[in-house]
Amino acid sequence: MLHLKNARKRFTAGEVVNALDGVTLNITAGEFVGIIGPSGCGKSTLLYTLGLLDSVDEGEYSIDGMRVDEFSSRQRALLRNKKFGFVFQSFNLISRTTSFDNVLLPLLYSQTRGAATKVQRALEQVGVWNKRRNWPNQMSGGQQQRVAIARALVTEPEIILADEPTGNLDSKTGSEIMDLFKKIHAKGTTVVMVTHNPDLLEYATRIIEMRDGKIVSDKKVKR
Amino acid sequence: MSIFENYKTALKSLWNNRLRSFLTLLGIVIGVYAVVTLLAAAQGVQNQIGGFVEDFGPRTILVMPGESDSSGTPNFAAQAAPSTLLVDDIDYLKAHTTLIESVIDYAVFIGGLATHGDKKLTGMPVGITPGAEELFSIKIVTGRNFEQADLDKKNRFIVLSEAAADKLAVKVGETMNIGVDKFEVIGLFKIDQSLSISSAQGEMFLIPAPVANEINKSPQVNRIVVHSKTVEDVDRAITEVREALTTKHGTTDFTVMKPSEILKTVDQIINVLKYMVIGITSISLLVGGIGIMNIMLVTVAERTREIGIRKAVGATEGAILTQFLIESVLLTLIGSLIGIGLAAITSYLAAKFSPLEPAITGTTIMMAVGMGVVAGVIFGLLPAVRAARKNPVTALKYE
Ligand SMILES: Nc1ncnc2c1ncn2[C@@H]1O[C@H](COP(=O)(O)OP(=O)(O)OP(=O)(O)O)[C@@H](O)[C@H]1O
Ligand SMILES: [Mg+2]
Repeated sequence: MLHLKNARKRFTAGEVVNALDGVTLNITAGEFVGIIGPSGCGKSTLLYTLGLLDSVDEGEYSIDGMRVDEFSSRQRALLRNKKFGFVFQSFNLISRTTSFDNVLLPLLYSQTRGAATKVQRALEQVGVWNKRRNWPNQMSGGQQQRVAIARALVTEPEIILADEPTGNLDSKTGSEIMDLFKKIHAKGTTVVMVTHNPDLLEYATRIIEMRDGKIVSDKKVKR
Repeated sequence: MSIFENYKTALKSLWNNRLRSFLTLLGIVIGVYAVVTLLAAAQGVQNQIGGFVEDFGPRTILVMPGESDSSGTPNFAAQAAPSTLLVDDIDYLKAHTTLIESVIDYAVFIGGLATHGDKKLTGMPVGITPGAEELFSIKIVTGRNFEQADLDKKNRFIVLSEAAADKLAVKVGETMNIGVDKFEVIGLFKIDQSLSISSAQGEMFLIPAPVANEINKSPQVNRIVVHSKTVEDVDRAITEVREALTTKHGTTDFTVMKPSEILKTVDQIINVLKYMVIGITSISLLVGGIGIMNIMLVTVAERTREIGIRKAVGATEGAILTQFLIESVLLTLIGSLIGIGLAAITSYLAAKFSPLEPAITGTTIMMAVGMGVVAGVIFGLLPAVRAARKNPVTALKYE
């Protein structure tokens, strides 16, 4: 489904960093991919690249056979809206905006019918329908992350990309969030997650380890 | 994102920062207020002038005492001096011209305080022929006007404005005095145009012209009104009148002019003033616009993370651009509407408590709204482009 070939990404602010240093990676539907590695090794960069939020300097990227590295910014945005859902470490909900409206946001950028029903279903799925009228600052971190996951799910994307989604949560809440991802995966959604959470090893079907912008190990986990 | 959602988002964001939005609006409000109020005042004056131009037909020619200066403007200092025009000038014109109509009207100014019982009123008593009232934009509302017979018989009749009659507590059929002379009131009029030549000089009293000559013990007249037979001939008729009188007087100690033309000139001057008003107030709109740009830049910077989030969930650059443009346009649009509202209130009050009759036209409103929207687009564009171009990854990391 996702084919990244020889991707290179270099940052030149200050010292030169090869955040992606020739990464080749194929991800197929239904996988639960965990990405691990030391800080600064390029995990987030890889995730954003996969989700069309960032682009590579060199290499090829195709999604479902389409050369998306040749897409215009508009095409990338539309495909991102349809295909991916993002979950971040710092929740990234819009402040002074209710949970409901936060989850509604992706649907505003796609012509969707029955948006309200979809929002309700997404919020119920992650168990925070009762918080639909709350602003982000009126919720716990765990609840905020659930709303963020609902926002990622509301467009029914094929792939959820999560960047340390439990990084700002205590271990108990973190485990609950991991359980949620497990359920989402069980329903057939592909999950790619960057994390230090040890629970990952329990759920992932594949573990990729990175170092200095390179993939140093890529193991399928048998279940 | 639908336009409706865009408006909702923009309104919400403006409301969340309502004090800041309001302060930003002020610049536009003041600019639009100034332009609309001044244009309304100018339009009001033009409307009144338009009334005069219609009162004076295109065939009307006015002869005034005193030489005109080189630009053709009558010499107003000469108005105070004894008039150089005489009653027999009228007969001379009838005999020595071919292009003007045989009925020639004239006006004679006299002095004297108007009194009725113990009531007094300073004003402008004028002796006129029936056609000369054209000069004063009046309309008889009670009683009647003079007729030729009143002039022939030198009837001591007087016609005055309702306002003057009120102040003197005099009614049609009663007698009143101008100086030592007694007159019977036969009619009351109202002045058609509030800016008419007369109102600035106080109340007006009209008496038959020959009576005025009799009281003045002089054949002098102050205005002669002639009409060319055809509109096409009006300029040739002016020349004919000027040449005839110059021959008779031996010098050009008078002015011949077309009142409608003069008023048109004034109208044109006001038009030029209007453009100046638009120009000057555009500067204040420019200042207001820069204020908007400044605030929008701050807003965009503050909401960098939100922009990152929107992009992450699939907002295109176009959608972000539209969102911020709508916000700035909404800001200037609301500012324009408030400005127009305030200008409307001011114009209403001015019409009520001053001789001005400001008129806010549809064109003015459309122009003001247009200027607001254009300012919103122009000054909102740079911030909106900045928002749209933000790199989503760095935007998401923004603190
Ligand atoms: N916008 C940027 N400008 C300059 N350098 C950057 C930028 N973004 C990332 N980098 C660099 O690229 C490298 C990879 O960054 P990335 O965020 O992918 O690391 P990471 O593996 O996610 O680390 P962490 O686990 O700490 O989140 C780092 O060395 C970082 O300093
Ligand atoms: Mg990271």
